[in-house]
Amino acid sequence: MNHTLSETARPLANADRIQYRKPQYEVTSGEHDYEVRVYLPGVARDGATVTLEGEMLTIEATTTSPTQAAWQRIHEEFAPQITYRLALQLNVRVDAAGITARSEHGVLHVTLPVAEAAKPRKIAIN
Amino acid sequence: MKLIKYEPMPMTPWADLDRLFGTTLGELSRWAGFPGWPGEGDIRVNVYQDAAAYHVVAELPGYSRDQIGLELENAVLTIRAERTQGEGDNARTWRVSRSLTIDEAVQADAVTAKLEHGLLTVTLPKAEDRKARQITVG
Repeated sequence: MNHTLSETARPLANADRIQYRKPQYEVTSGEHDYEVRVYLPGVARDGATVTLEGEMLTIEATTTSPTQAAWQRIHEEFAPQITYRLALQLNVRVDAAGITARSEHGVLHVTLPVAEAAKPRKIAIN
Repeated sequence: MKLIKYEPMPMTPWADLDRLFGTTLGELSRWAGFPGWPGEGDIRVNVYQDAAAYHVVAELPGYSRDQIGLELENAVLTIRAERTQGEGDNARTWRVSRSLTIDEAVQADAVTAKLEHGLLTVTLPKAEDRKARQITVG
């Protein structure tokens, strides 16, 4: 049985052209679910939204910068405020009601249970 | 399940596209969306200052406080972090580090650090004689 997770770009309307940054992420698969770990440093627990629309899983998040107005920049390797966006096309049926997400140390863990109908079945040989 | 990365499709300015294909079920596998990170290597940092201190902000997503080490020696600030994910044969360890030379004198015994949502902020108070002072014109 083939299961597919695809990451895809969804065209945005001109008015919505926010400068998004794609976050680093990993996908691991178990027997019954996928886990997507999205690295979102600086994003508070309630700073991310996870949306499933059809087969499209979208994660958007904005960082909360610890920088203060009085701080002068000496050296910068990443933007103090970043809006992340990751869109994954799910080519495997998942149990939408069973999707869970938790955030820990700037990593969002999204668990996607594989729908019963998509799980492999053992077929008895008569 | 095996996940194989295909060549990325043409990128737009605000998003890009990769594809991951699963082939067989039951085998634990993983795919990092960006090779080399957040695994081995450097830590990205921003450095700021105000009148009283230098502030180093470092990206360390996934690390808890007890997995991060800080050292200030001979004007070099070193941030190290290590974590292990999974168990047994599936265990995977990440080690990252970054050293920064602090040119200006700081109060080494007053350095503080705070970890919040995967961002480490290290505050290095300036030595008294380096602090900005307002001078009243007489």
